[in-house]
Amino acid sequence: MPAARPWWRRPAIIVVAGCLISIVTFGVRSTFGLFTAPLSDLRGWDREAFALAIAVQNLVWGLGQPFAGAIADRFGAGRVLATGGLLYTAGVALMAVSGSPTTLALTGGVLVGLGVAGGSFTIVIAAFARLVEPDRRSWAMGLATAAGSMGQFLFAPLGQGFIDAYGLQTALLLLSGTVLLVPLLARPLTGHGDQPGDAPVSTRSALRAAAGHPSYVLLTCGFFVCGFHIAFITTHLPAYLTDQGLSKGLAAWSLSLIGLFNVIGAYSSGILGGRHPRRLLLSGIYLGRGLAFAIFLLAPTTTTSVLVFSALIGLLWLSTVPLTSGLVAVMFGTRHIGMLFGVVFLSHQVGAFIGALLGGTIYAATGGYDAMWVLCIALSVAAAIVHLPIRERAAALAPSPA
Amino acid sequence: MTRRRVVELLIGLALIAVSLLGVLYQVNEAAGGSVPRLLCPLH
Repeated sequence: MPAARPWWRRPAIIVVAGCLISIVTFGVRSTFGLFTAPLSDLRGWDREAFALAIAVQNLVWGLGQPFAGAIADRFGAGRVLATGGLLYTAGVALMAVSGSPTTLALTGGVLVGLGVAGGSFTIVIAAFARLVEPDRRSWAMGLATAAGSMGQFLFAPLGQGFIDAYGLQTALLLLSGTVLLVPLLARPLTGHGDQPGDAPVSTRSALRAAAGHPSYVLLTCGFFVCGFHIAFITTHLPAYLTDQGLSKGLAAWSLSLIGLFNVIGAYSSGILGGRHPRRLLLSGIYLGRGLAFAIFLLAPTTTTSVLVFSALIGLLWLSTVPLTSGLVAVMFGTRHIGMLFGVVFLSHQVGAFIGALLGGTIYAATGGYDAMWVLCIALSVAAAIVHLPIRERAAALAPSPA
Repeated sequence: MTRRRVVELLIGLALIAVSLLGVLYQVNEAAGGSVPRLLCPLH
């Protein structure tokens, strides 16, 4: 008879712990924007110093994610989450005493980037894939994604409150203290990819098999488009709206509405992904984005059109995450889910980098964003098409030679 | 409606309620001139 499961390994505890990790890790990170201006002024830096640290952080996160995932697959998600949480804590705490832009790039950039790669939702989702029953897995993945998004709303006032009450440096130390919760919360998410009785498949073999699997390649290409869209809008939408003569207040409403509807979309897509073909849902999401972009571009830009666009695009925002990660689990099982979803996520981050950069380049060259919107529409259609032939069933992973 | 559906619905409503409060806070803060940077946890 199998041993009784301890209370902290019950599915509800696992899901709650994973969602709390998402809330804390994304929440703390979202407060960095609050420090940009005052910390730069305090140290006598220009804004580029902070921008460089955040750029390095994103780069390290993206590049580190497949490795963090592979380590989690091999040695257990709990250990990687705990280590990531400690690195994240150290990075945020050391930001408080960083005396130069280079030091800030090392602490807020490299250390926090490594911490986010190891300690945040990609590893949580991989752990859910292993530890949550298959019929609740998609819902749990959607919940973790939505919880992370909600964490931004929770931590923005908390971070501002810390700054107002205690000053910049103490606020950073207090925020780093909250990240210390991650190693504690990681305990229920322990467990690695190897299951008793399974033939061993090395990381290299799994990666090779995935790279040669057309459905995985198509999924990776689709997630590139997701990153492209999101980074472009995140970076350039406020400027686009003010260029159109709209107020900063409306830009704030727009971003907030995207954030709110993102929570709804991510959570709902997790539920829908457990009941309907994920590839069709993904195809519909990208097609919906394309339609939203097209209507927004062609219709007169008014307060109403901006708010409707924001709500629509928010619904279609991170709703791709539970579906994409779920498809990786369906195709290749859970043994290498951390590494294989990490590679897909890296594609997302590359798309994000290009989307943000190209938006600025096209604006500089043409004086507007019209060409970028058209490119976004074209990529939406392409992404909608590439998801259709994806085979939503298990692919073979050849066992490694003994 | 099954118990599971009710739980899913209640959790979803709780997420929306908390996020809605966050929206109101952000927009109130933005009245001071700053645009909140809270869009996407991936960037």
